[in-house]
Amino acid sequence: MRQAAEGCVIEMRDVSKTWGDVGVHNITLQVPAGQIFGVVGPSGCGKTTTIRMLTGVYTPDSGELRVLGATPKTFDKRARERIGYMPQLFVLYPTLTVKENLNFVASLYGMPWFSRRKRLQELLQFVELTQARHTLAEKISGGMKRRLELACALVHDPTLLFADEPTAGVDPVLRGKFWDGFKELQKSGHSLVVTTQYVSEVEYCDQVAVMRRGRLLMIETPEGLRKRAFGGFAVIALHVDPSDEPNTREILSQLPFVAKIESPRNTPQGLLHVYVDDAGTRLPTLIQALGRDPTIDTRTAEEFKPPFDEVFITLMQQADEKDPAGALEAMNE
Amino acid sequence: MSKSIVRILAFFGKEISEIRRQPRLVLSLVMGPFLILLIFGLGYSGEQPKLKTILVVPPGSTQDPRVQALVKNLGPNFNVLDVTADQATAQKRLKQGEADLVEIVPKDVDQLFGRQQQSPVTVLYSQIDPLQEQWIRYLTYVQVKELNTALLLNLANAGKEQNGNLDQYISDARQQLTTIQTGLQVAGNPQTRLAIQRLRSNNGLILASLILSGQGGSNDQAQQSAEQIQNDLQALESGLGSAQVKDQQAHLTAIDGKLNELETVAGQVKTVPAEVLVSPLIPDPKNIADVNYQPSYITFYTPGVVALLLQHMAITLAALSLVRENLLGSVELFRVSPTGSGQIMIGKYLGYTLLAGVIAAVLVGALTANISLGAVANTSVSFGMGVPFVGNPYWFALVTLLLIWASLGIGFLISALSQTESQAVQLSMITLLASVFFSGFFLPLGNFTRAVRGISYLLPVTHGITAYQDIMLRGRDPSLQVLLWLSGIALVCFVLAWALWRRNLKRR
Repeated sequence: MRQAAEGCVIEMRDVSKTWGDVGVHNITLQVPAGQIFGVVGPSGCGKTTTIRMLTGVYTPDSGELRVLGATPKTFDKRARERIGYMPQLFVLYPTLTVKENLNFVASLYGMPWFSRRKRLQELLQFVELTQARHTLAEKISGGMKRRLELACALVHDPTLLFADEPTAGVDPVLRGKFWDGFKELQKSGHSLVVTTQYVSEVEYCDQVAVMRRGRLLMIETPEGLRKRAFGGFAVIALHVDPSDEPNTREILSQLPFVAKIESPRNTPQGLLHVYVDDAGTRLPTLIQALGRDPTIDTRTAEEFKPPFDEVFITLMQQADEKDPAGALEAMNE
Repeated sequence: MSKSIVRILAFFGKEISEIRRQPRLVLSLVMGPFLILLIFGLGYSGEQPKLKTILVVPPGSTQDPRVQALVKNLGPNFNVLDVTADQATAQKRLKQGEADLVEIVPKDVDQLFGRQQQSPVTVLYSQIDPLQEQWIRYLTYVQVKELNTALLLNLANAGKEQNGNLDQYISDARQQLTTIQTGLQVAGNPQTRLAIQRLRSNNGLILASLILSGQGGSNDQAQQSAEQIQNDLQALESGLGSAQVKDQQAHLTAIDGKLNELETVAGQVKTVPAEVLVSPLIPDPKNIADVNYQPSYITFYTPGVVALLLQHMAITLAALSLVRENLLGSVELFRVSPTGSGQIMIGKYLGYTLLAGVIAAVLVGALTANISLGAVANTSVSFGMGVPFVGNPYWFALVTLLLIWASLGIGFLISALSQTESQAVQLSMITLLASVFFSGFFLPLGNFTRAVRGISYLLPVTHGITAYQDIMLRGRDPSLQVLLWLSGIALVCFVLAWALWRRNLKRR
């Protein structure tokens, strides 16, 4: 089992890389070792450019950037051997078999021929391509191609894996398997930076960087993102008899930890969203307070966890409200 | 070090595996040129087609025996479609493409020698092919030369008849000489003066006859002898009646000696055939190439085809190689990996060298083999084309290696400069076209100006053809110049291609 490295595997400070108006601007972030660090954002927001700077494909125009303690621009061979990269597109050879492609990438990293056999077998099992190992890459499915690329990125057992939209175009079942695989890698001590367009996948991450139009909006834990979407509060969803709603509102408004009470749009009557600082600790108190009034029929009370798609949309809307000019530009694009 | 070797061999193995999966490509690379040479050998006679000719003769002479003789003697390269006096119709047929040329015979051929100027044999043709035009001009020149020779032969034969009179003139001259000798004893003998005058006249006739029938180098000697006789006769006549009998006797002795010389020349002329007089020189070409096989077109062109194929194959493979990596996106993988641009290039060089080397060996084996299949099957068919290979195979291998490397260098250079596969293919085809024109494959290098020959020397195939012909057909070792050129092209192209590829791979 690999020991997680101490400190940060990635440090970016005010890093920019632009081509005219497009590119990424003033990215500052740190990725602690042993984490799955997600980068999420709409198409063209700068995820791939960021990954390419981190892998040394692009050199930043400005700012400071260190990966595994070194500047990517001056990575030596040893530093490169510690990095794994799964590009966004399939860049392997269609006329080579699955195993030949894997072997080729192993050779790129200088892995000795005789000692790699076991590693190749393990990886093929890990990505469930053992049966297809002698099939030409051009004849395997899109999902299998993504798995082959993942195997290639891991063949030299890198400390830090960059996966650029690994689940793009992959069915939900396989996506789940990918993330299970990433979790396994994390457990074995690897650090991962994973970009994704599927917002729901952020729940697999320890931290998530949200990007929009080349800028970093925030870095948060998945729960932190939800809170941000609700202005920094947790939400308790309370369902009471519609006739009891006025009474309920009155009782709840007297509780000091309740910040706001809302009736969500397009929902049945009697459903209230109660904004609190911490849903876990406040929920019992809230139920207790309502229980003191026997006329109130409380049907359900639970922490409201909106899907991340919703969270993401909310966050984007909030960003648009703060930067209306940018929102208009984005719509025109 | 070991990791570098592993990385280099990654590309070597990858290229071999990719091509291994395209058996049709490999088969076409070997069988294509083999079949082309086979069809070329079976179907190319090397003979120029006969020129369809219309002969325009003076009006009323179409049935003239001399015209018939002319038609008969036009030579094997002319196919006479028609003999006519109508020049306008003949020209019309020429324009319509019915005939290749119209030849206009001058009027009064039999009176050519009486004129004060040469008579043209006009030949009309309609050609846009410069090679064909040159060929027609050459044939016309040869034909007119042959006609001139035939006319001279007739003249020489007529001169031979003159030669019969020559004997008579010399005999008469001797008779006059005896009369003069006898007459000198009697002073004032009128017969003596008359004999001198006759001898003078005879001497002129002898010279004229010799000139007409003799030609050549004997003329000068005969002329000198005749002049000397004239001088002696002059002195003899002016001394008639004087008491200087001794001096006159000396003149007579000198005249007798000169007459002997003229007689000798006349005897020589009589024995020389008219053909020798007209054409004393005949061509006698002898090929001293030290080979024990019969040279043929297929034999001669085989080394060129092999060299051209190897160059084209290497250039095309290399030209597409780096472009494909770019288009496939693998470059992104290389940029992140610890593999260097040099390792990628060397790996690819090794892979393509092995492939091209194997194909060269198989192709040359098939072309040079001449194995009877009678032993394994009841057939008279044999395998291979039996093209000779008389030289050292080790030199052949070295030249092949250098030719492949030089060609790969050009290919990688094209690849590093190209943005798309179409560009790479286009540049490869342009190189092939340049090679066909400038390498000496079809057109000899000597036909080009010095500046254009510079382009020829930049093409690996130019040196490949020279070296392969030397090794395979003459049994000679390749010249140092060829080896240096190939090595130079290989090295320069490798360095340039590497520099460009390195820039392309550089992290941006």
